[in-house]
Formats: sequence, C-alpha cells, structure tokens
Amino acid sequence: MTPGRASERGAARLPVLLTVLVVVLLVACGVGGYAAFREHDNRAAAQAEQERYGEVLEAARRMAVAFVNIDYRTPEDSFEAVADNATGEFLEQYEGSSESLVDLLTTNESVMTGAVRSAAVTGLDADSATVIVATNGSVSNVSSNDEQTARDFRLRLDLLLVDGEWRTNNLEFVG
Amino acid sequence: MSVSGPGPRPPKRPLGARTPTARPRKVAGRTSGADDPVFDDSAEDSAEDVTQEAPEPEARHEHVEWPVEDEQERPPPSRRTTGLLVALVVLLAAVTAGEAFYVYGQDDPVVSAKRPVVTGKVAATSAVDAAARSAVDIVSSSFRTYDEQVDLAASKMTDSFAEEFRQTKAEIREDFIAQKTEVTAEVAAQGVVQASPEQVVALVFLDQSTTKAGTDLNVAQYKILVTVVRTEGGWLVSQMETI
Repeated sequence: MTPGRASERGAARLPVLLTVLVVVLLVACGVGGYAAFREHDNRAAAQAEQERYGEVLEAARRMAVAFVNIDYRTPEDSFEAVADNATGEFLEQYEGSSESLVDLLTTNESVMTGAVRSAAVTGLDADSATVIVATNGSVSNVSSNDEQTARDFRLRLDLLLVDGEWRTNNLEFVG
Repeated sequence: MSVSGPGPRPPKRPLGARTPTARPRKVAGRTSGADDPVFDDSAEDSAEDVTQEAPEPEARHEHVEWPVEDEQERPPPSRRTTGLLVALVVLLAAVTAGEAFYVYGQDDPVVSAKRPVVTGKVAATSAVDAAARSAVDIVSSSFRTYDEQVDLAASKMTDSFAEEFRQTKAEIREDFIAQKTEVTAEVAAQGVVQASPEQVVALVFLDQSTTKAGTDLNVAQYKILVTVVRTEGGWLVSQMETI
C-alpha cells in the first residue's frame, strides 16, 4: 500500500504546492507589473529626448541649406528661407542687413550653392541646442568670371525651441 | 472547470452521506483518486454545492484532529480546486512572462534620421569626447617621436584600422622625418552625429598646424567624421573620414 499512499499524499499536497506557486507568481506579477510600468515611463522619456536630437539636426540642416544657397536672381527667396528658420537676435540682424546684402549680391551676380555634408549636436536641452554643421559647396560671381570656387563651411548654430519649432538664433563660422 | 458541473446528477444522496467519517472510508485503499468515480462525485459536491459548503471547514477541522495514520488517508482535494489553481498558475505565469518580455525581451531602438541617438546623453557625450581626443592623437605627429606617436595613435584604434594606419605611416615615414615635419592638432568643435550603445559617429572640426624645415607654419581646417566602437578597452576608432 505504500506506493498508493505516497501518491495519495502527493495528490493531497498538489493544491498546497499550487497555492504556494500562485502566491509566488502573484508577487512576481506585481513586481513585474511595477517594473514594466517604470520601464514604459523610462522608454517614453528616453524616446522624447532622443528624438529631440533628430529634430534639432533637421532644423539646423534646413537653416544651413538656406544659408549656403543664395542666388542674386532670386534674392528674396534666399533671404526668406533663412528668415523662416531664424528667430531672436539673428533674425533681427539678418533682416536689418538684408537690403545691403541684396545690393551686394546683385552687383556681383553672386550665386552660392551648397549642401550639408554632416551635422552634429554639441549640446542639447529641453528648449535650446547647439549644432555644428559641415557644408560643401561652391560660389561664382562676376569677379570669378562665373567660375565655380569651392566654398566649404564649418558652421555653429544655436537653436531655440519657439512655439514647438526649433529656430536658429545665432549662426557663426567655426574659424 | 465549469461551475455548474454535471448538472443532471440526481440529489438522491442525503446530506448525511457526506459526513466526515464517511469520506475517508470511501477512498481508503485507493491507488489513484483521479479516475475513481466515487472520488469524482464527492469532489464535485464539495466544490459546487453552496449549501454544502458550510459543513466543509468543520469536516476539515476534524481531519486535522485525526490520528496521523488516518490523516495520511485524507482524500485528495477537489479536482476543481486543483484545476482552478493550475489555471491561475498558467495565467499568472503568462502575465509575468509578458511583463518580463516587455522589460527585457525587446530589441533596442535602432539609429534613424528621426532618432539619431539611441543612448543616454552622458554615454554619447563621453564617446564623442573619446573620438575627438583620439582624432588629435591620430593626426598629431613629429619627426622626433615618429614611432612612439604611431604606437600611441594605433592604441586608440580597432585592430583593422590600426593595421591600415601603420601601413600608411610606414610608407610616408622616410619623407616625413627627412623634412623634419611636425603636426599638431586642436579640436575646434565636436558633436554627435549618431549614437548607439555599440557605435558612435562624431563630427570633429580639427585645426591642424604643420611645420616643415624651411617652410612657414601651415594651418588647415578639417571636418572629420570619426567612428568609434565600444570595446573592452573603451571606445576605439574604427574609421576616420575627412569631409
């Protein structure tokens, strides 16, 4: 009878074991739920911060492209493109000097074309950022007899988040 | 596991049939309770019939007070309870597994134009620092300490990139030393182009000063994409591209 009794005892213990297992799993479930909840929050925060890199790089690239593409035949378009991406002091300076720049462009029949070769974030906050941009391009004007001269730039842009849009409030050459 | 159980079972058995003393007798000597119809019957009774729930605790209480030998013959608990517990275990295990998968099992986000950085800010910044410092070491050179400089530079690179670098440096060594050339470099700006836990691309603006015997100082501005990869020995340069 011993094997029979043993299996009976086993059968009797099964619910106890299962109950213990249920309790253990309940605890694991609770801990796991908390961890998943925390992880969800962390991921959302990380994603928001990491996508900010993409947003400021895109805005800085847009500004750099506007800045290195200027055609004396359509000066307003060129200036508008820059102004659209600018804010604050830089916008004021740019608008203040645009008339004399247009004159200069027209007189020299200047055409500058360029593209962004690479852009990188050097500093980033919730609402401000600094980006460096490398551009490759060329310039031609009357004095160069319309010959293209290579014109590459190393730019540093400071950007601010204004009404949900990243706009440049300072642009300088990294000499 | 249906709550209604075997519905049409006739209530022919009086309540008294479920007296505590009757139960052990019924199952005594059984080798396996699961297939026993008698066991089945009484088991379902205890779980389903609300009116019979009341005497149940008392009955169990009596069991505890029985002699040890008798207690060993206590009937296995209800199949229904066991089934319920198994279902609970399965459910909770599934939920726990799901939670674990959410926390640990998912792939890391991938670098994209929308999300060029998929690491923490501190990790990305330190990788960019390493990339810029390494770039200075790699570009710098002197006819006085040519070989030491090559070794230093190579120590900042992955094996394959170091091999390539040493080959180039060996080819220009003679002229470089003969002209008493010295190259120093300074970082003008540095930033992160993209970053993952394993690989970071940095943009470094480097100002490089070159002197040779009999010539003036020549300063050149460079834009360099430096790729560093994570290794046991820290961030090592795997690629440098002047743009």
